[in-house]
Amino acid sequence: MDSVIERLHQGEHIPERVVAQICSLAEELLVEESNIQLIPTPVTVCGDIHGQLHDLFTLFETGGACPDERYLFLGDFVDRGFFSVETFLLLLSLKVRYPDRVYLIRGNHESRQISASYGFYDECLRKYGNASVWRMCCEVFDHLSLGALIGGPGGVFCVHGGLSPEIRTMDEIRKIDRKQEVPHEGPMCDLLWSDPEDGYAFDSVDWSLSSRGAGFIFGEAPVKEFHQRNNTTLIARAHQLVVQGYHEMFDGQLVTVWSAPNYCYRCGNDAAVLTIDDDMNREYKVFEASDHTKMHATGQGRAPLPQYFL
Amino acid sequence: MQRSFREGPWNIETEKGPILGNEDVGKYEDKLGIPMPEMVFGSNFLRLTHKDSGKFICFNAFDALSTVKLGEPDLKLAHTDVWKASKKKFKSEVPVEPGQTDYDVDHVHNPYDWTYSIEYQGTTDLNFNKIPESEAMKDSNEIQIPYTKLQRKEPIMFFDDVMLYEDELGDFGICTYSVKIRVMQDSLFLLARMFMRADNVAFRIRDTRVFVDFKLGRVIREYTEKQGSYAFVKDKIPLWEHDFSKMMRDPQWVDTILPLEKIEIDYADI
Ligand SMILES: [Mn+2]
Repeated sequence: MDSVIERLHQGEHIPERVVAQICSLAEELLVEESNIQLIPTPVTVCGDIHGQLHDLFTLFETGGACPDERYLFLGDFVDRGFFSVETFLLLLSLKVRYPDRVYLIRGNHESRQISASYGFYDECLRKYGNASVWRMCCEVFDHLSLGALIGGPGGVFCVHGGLSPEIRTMDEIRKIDRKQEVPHEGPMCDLLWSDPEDGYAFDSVDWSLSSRGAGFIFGEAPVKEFHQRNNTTLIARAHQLVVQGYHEMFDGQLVTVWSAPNYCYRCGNDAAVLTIDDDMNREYKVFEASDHTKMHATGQGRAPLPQYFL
Repeated sequence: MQRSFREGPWNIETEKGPILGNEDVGKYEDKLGIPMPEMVFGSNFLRLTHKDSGKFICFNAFDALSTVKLGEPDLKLAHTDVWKASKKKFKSEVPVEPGQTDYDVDHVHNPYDWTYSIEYQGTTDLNFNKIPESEAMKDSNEIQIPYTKLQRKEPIMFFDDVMLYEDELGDFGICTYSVKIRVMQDSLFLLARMFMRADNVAFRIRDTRVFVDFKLGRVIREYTEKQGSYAFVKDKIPLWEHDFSKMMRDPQWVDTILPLEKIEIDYADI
């Protein structure tokens, strides 16, 4: 496993049969995990990565090398960026090599339907000439857990998207049968998809349907009630781009952490990770895009080549 | 980064910077009453100013987003009905304690057009005269953008492409809005294009084109709306094309497929 990790750092291609080995080892580990993993402090929480492998290297420089530091990744490892395969394989290899130093939970992009349309599938085809690597990874996706609790009572509840109106306690999450493709509806879908809101006159609203017709948006009251019921003090989630890398809401009862700097090679945003120490203090560490990601940057800051558009 | 081109009768200025920060996003949302797209290039703009009269036409994200429609949107996600019907299936069995709420979520707070399909034709103080719609549809219409001339590859003296906003529609598609300009010896041409794909639902393209003839001192603006269902566009992808998702996010190709639903032409003499 060490040589695989080294090769991924060197930007080398990982043969299909090695991918198969990593995936099956990872599945064996993940299948044993509870829907909500209990993680001791200190730990560094990371948001969306989206295939930005070189920024993941910067993340480890920022937060401290793995396995010296403990890490929790909140999902959305793949899609959008150009190195989804290598990013996911690196995280899986680290998980297999250091199971109690690396924790992974599922994002909405860790699904067949989404990763088929937003880059991961195409990348697998391009790099392997067939879809078997994509299929193997999707099998692993189905085994990823749905959330984490950092530090026990008074701790931090971690999830990719947010709350569900049909989930009141963490025990209810523990009872979900998670080993399936992310469903279109229901609590499992909500945990991976829903968004908090405190803007545009949302302060008095607890829950709303999305204008899109499906999906939930939650305000402060459900967050407060979740903390009371579950004896937690913070919800750490990812899923939405935040320009400064992190964004606290509801008087610090919830935070969005985003770990893909210069997202999609054109946003110019910072990224951040959140370290929770033994006294449950929060420390945000902000980092910028790697030179590699900047190299891919399009449009902004340069004079583009003329086009005879009509 | 700022760029400008000041040869000829019009000053052309562009500005390109990073996306808006949390604080500015909040301000925009308060003013416009809708959540902002994920990426709002708030400081970006393209502005043409007529040197002699000071009259201008400008394209920027804030003014564009102020044309997003409030109220029940006309497009819904493909799985909306299934989703709503299944909602009753899932019910928490944990009892509600005193002072806590049993949430029955069945309304949309402040609904808006989540596809960010704008009807923006630029911000301007030019005195535009509208051509009747029946005229605008005709090929023989006297006032129209001279596409034959524009197909000639006259040297381009200034070109820029400015992103104004982009949203991934919550991973259910994409909406992008950007404006391109090319300046030639005796004319300029710009295209402000909104491209929207809602997965399994629909495609939309809303274009504003502006052509300025320097000698004639005439500004012609053409606004078009195109729309088609997702299935309609998908069916048009050639069988031999294997990069399906590339086609589905290529505005230029989709533009050739979608039927024209609306065209407006107006002009201003200066
Ligand atoms: Mn996400």
